[in-house]
Amino acid sequence: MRLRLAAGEGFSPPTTEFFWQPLVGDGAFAFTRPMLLMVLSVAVIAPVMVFVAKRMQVVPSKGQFLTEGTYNFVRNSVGKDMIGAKEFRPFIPLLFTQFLLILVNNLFEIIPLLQFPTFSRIGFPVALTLVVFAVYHVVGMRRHGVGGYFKRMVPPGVPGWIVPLIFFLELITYFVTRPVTLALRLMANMFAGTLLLVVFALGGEYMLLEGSNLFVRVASLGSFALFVIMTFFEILVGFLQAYVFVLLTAFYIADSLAEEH
Amino acid sequence: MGDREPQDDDQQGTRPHAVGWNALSYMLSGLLLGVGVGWLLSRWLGTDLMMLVGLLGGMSLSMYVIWVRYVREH
Repeated sequence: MRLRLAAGEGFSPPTTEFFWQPLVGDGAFAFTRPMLLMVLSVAVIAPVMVFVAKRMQVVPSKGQFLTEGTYNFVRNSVGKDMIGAKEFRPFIPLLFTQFLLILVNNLFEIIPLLQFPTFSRIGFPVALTLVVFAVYHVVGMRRHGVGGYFKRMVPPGVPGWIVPLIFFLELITYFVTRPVTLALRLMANMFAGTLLLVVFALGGEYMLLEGSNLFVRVASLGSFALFVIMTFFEILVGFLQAYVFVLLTAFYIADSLAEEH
Repeated sequence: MGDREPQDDDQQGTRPHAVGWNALSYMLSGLLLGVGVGWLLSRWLGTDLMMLVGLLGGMSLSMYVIWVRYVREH
């Protein structure tokens, strides 16, 4: 009822157009809002990390405590758990950098004025995924040799007639579905969350300002309430997606390094 | 199921999460492979039924590989 009343007046819901926001220029070489946010995120993360690292103390300050907590989480709960105590060290810089970059850019979705998740534009998650893609293949081929890397894709102890099928299945998994799902999962989650927030915000605004009667105008409160609830939910999603991305990165690396499969 | 110590899961830490997310990749691979092979067979044999057979076969293969890799080994 509420929706129909609002829509009947000519409310145009936000579309994917919302995600195309060029700031300078237009077309393929435009400088866009997510590009600015990506630059901003690096400009925030790098000095903070350098600052905290330079002032390390035995009794940590609040900032050091928070940074160390995040670092330990990625180092131990993701890197060490996944890759194993012997070999996880070289990969911690990659995992920690990815986690911070994704987390900060995801949180941009709900920070007033910024309010745009960088990774809702597919190019950004694709760039991160290409790095992951290169790392787990190169690491695996260096460990097992190129031939050995492909050979060990088929787990031992399976019936002979099924081996070619499994080989193709693993090939598709390693080279197509793993990178595609990694990039799409991050992009789609941020995209969908933002679209929801925009719908609730714009819909509420429209009902409040243009509503045909008092009932519709009061009902806009519901829309605004959902906007607030979803904003908190999106904080959770932002953390979760950053976590899942580094978790799977570590898992793929561990999979490529593992001796026996 | 019952022959595992409960602490095993704790020692694995976050690994079960990753295995779960990774299973999605395998299921999609099975889907792609099955539908691809099914489509080729359908064109060859001139019947659409092979698409369905390929789809189900591909998904079954995925589940088999997930079982071999992440269930049987533990």
